[in-house]
Amino acid sequence: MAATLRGRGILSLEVEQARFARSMRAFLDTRAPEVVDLAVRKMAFDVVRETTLAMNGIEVLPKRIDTGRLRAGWRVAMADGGLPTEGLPSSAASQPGDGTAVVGRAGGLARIVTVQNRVAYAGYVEHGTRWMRPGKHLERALRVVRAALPGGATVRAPLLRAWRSA
Amino acid sequence: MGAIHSTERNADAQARLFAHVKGLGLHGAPAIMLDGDARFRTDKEPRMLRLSLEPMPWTTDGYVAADVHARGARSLLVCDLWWRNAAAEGEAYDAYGPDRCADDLAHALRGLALSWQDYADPAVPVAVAGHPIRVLWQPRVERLPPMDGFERRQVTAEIRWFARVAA
Repeated sequence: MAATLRGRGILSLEVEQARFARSMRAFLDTRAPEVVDLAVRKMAFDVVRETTLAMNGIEVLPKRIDTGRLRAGWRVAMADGGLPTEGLPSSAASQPGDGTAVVGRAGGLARIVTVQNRVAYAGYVEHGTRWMRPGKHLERALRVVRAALPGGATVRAPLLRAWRSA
Repeated sequence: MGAIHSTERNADAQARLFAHVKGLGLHGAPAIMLDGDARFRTDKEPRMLRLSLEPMPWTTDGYVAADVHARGARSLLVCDLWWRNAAAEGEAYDAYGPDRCADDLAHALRGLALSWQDYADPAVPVAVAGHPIRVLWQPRVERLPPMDGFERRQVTAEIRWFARVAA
């Protein structure tokens, strides 16, 4: 990759595609599995953290905390899967089995983290009932974290090319 | 505290979307309601659609003029459809009705670009040029387990617009 100054102060960026792809392949063959694993764990943590924060009530988002068991169910799940739990709220009302998590492989470098909150009324809080509107804390968290992912098309396209040929 | 611009008000976005959805002529003509509508808790309405708007963090932030700040605002629009299953009471029932209604709504929201209205006086909303409410992502239709004798569908769409903030 080289940055070159041309003409009247116009900066252009030349990407030596072959060299970039070689470097990326070397990276994908060696350190990538560890980095991908770390990244998906971090994303899972971010989604869970955003969900628990939203349950506290943000702006007009409904606050959905009584005993705190449902919110703490996310912490129980993360601990169950060996995922980070720093800063996630706990509750005296928590019970074993309130949450589960599994980190699995999905072919090649792909990893899937499944985090489940198994508290019986979780669905009512997320999707609502006739007596309360949907909380949508999890749906909202997924969208917030997805929007914050770094790297637009500029990085994604050459990275995918290198990945496919790795 | 100084007056804030209409586009900073989540309530104005909600009112605009509510008016728009009311005028769509959805299949089954469900009663369109906002969160907190008492009719939702009674058994009088056979078909109900509850709208709620959940704010999300700003996406972008910058100046568009010396005295005008613009912020990328977005919210989650949740349309909660409740459709009484009359078959349980031995009456005729449109089994495809809930899906058709939810599809109508998702179709109407897909690629939506809706002009902004200032609801400072709710009886006489005033158009605000240059601030459309948009739906850029595909709305999601979800089939939920039946509850209280009602079939349920939920249509979720991410709403975006630019809010104008006095610098």
